[in-house]
Amino acid sequence: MSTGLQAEEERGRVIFLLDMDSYFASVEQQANPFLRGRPIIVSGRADIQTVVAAASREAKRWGIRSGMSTFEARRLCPRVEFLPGDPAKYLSITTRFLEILRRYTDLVEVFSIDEAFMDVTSIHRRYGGPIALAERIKGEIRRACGPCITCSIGIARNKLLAKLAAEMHKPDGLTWIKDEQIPEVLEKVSLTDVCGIGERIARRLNSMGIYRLSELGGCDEEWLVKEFGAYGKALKLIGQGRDPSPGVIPYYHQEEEKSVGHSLTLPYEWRTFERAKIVLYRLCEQVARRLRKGGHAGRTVSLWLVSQDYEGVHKQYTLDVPTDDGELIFKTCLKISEMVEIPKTVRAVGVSVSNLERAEALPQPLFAQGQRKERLLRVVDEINDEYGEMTLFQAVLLATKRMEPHVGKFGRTRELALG
Amino acid sequence: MPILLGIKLQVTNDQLTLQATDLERAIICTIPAENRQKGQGPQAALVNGEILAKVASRLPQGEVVVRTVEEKVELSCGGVKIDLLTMPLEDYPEIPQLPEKPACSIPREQLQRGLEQTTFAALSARETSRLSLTGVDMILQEDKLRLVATNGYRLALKEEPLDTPPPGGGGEYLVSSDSLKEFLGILSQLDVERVELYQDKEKRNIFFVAGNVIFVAKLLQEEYPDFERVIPRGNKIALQLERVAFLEALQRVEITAAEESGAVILEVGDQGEALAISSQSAEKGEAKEILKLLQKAEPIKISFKAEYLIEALKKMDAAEVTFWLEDPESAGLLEPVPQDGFTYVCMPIRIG
Repeated sequence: MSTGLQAEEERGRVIFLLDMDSYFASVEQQANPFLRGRPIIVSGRADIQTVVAAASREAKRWGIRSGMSTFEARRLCPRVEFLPGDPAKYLSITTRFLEILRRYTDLVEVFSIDEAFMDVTSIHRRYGGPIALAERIKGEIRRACGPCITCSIGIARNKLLAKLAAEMHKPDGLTWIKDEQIPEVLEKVSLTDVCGIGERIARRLNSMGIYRLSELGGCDEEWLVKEFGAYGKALKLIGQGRDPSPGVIPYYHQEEEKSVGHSLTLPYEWRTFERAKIVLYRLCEQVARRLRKGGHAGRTVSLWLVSQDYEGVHKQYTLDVPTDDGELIFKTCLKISEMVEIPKTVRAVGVSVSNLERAEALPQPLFAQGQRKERLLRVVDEINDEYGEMTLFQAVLLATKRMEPHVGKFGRTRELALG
Repeated sequence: MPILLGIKLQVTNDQLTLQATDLERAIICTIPAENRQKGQGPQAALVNGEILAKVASRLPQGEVVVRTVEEKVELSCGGVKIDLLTMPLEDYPEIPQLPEKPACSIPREQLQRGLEQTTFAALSARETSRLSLTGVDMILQEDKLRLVATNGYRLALKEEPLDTPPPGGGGEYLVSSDSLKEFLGILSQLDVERVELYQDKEKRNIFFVAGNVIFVAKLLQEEYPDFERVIPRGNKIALQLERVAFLEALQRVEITAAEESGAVILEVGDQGEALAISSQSAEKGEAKEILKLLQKAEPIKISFKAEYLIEALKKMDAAEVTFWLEDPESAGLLEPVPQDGFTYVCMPIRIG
């Protein structure tokens, strides 16, 4: 756990969080005028149990929220339309708006496919202050991406509060939590409104008599550490409206961490690690396929497991030699799983490979077994390029074939290889 | 397991035995001692190894008296008296017993050199998904001991002739390169002429006996790949080079090689009289160096990961080496001139 910035260091900082509104749904509506003004949902298929990745503004009016099961969504609004996700489309828009942000500063941190932080401390005056700069950016994004695609911007002295601010007014919002307003905000908002406190932690805090952020901030740190371990320190900071994570990580630093990842929320009947393994294998194969398509091989394998209570387990492992082989990535995931405490119920799994190198820069394998594998992968890739994904695949993955097509929420991790 | 932090002290007859293990390997060291409680059977105690080592290194010169007192071990030397807490002995894992007959005996110099020239080439021990490649395959034959290690991209082989045939015939032992590196560290501190190798009946462990130290390593229960087939003994292009000149040129040219691949290009032109080593990368720049070939060679252009060649050249002693190549896609074979039993195989990088 990083200790975060000192309170004095945060003073005078101006951080933006830019959050795209109903992102995947807005992109779809922008791309297809016939979808505009209608309740739509981007998810996998309606007939299998998955979650809503994004709901359009119109769908939200019916009470549909992202993260909700598709079954629940249909119950709320029977005429809602389901769309399969198109990650390439969303990524191209993400690349477009990130480009705009980066024109202003290098201090842009990609937080997920539809969210980014900016540190504008040293530049906002040039544009007439934080509000003027935010409006300018919003206008530029609208012009570059289209009128259906809007964003909400939160402004505050740190990332934690900026994110909180962006949530306050949506869609197309612009909210500034000024330093002097912080105590009032902490008094007002409930625990789960803030990034870093999930349902489970909130319940535990409630049982300790803590319901408001200000109450959390007033707690004895030692007491929190006793209850939550090292995370107690972070909770204390969060309660004070301070950010336990480091400042905005400049984009050029993130680029070195470029990685390829996939994650998936599991259907109900698959939510044990034993059953999730096969899905994990499938994700590993997908990651490997994307690595090979991009001509990459990676050394660091990361595994995420998300429990029923949205608590995450994450651990990574670095191999001696980079790989683009799904089987080895999967085996490495299994090894990682032996090193962590696996949640009883696994709600979602994710895998990513980072520390990437150009695959052609690797020596060729010495042994026939390795050479055969390389040839095999090349031929399978060629066939799948020609006839579509999963035309040829390991028989063991047959059970996962019906899961396609599906859009994960991409996870709130820097797992996107943004060019 | 906290118990593995312990060193077991045991007195038998006129000897003090120290034992330590991490379950993968064990070290047993015997030192002469005057047993003052003879006839009272063996006495043993388990104390924290790190603390014991610290104490031992800081005690003044002179005789050390070791006594077990209830839950403590008392060490006294001159005016110093230190009581160390003990751990329960009954939980300590059993350390494999040294078998009766050795599998072979080898001059220490030879074994040490052989291990130095191979252990570096294996995959690191953490890579348990390809367990067999984390080991050094030790093949005992009638007249020689062969040591092989590979990470799947390069391979080091060392053959050491035996001056006496192994009494029990041949054998094959796959031993973690990490364990062997540790043994090398110990061996280099010992003043012994020869090392004896033993294997237990169950074929679970290998024992190296060097003077008063026994090093036990668990054998990897894995099949080693058929390495013989990947050694390109028929390569036709021979680059004859001075070893140190080749090594130093590679180290210089490596500086501008691309960070991720470390690729350098070796090229012999139509004249066949010189080797050009070059590298370039967008972020660093480029370098080129020409080395004179000691003998004329066929033209070729091939790329290698510089680190793989540098590591091998560093482990060699000869003044000259031959780098046998075939074509840009096939493995190269590096060997000393004259051949002293060391052979190194390295796969090229495709030239994009």
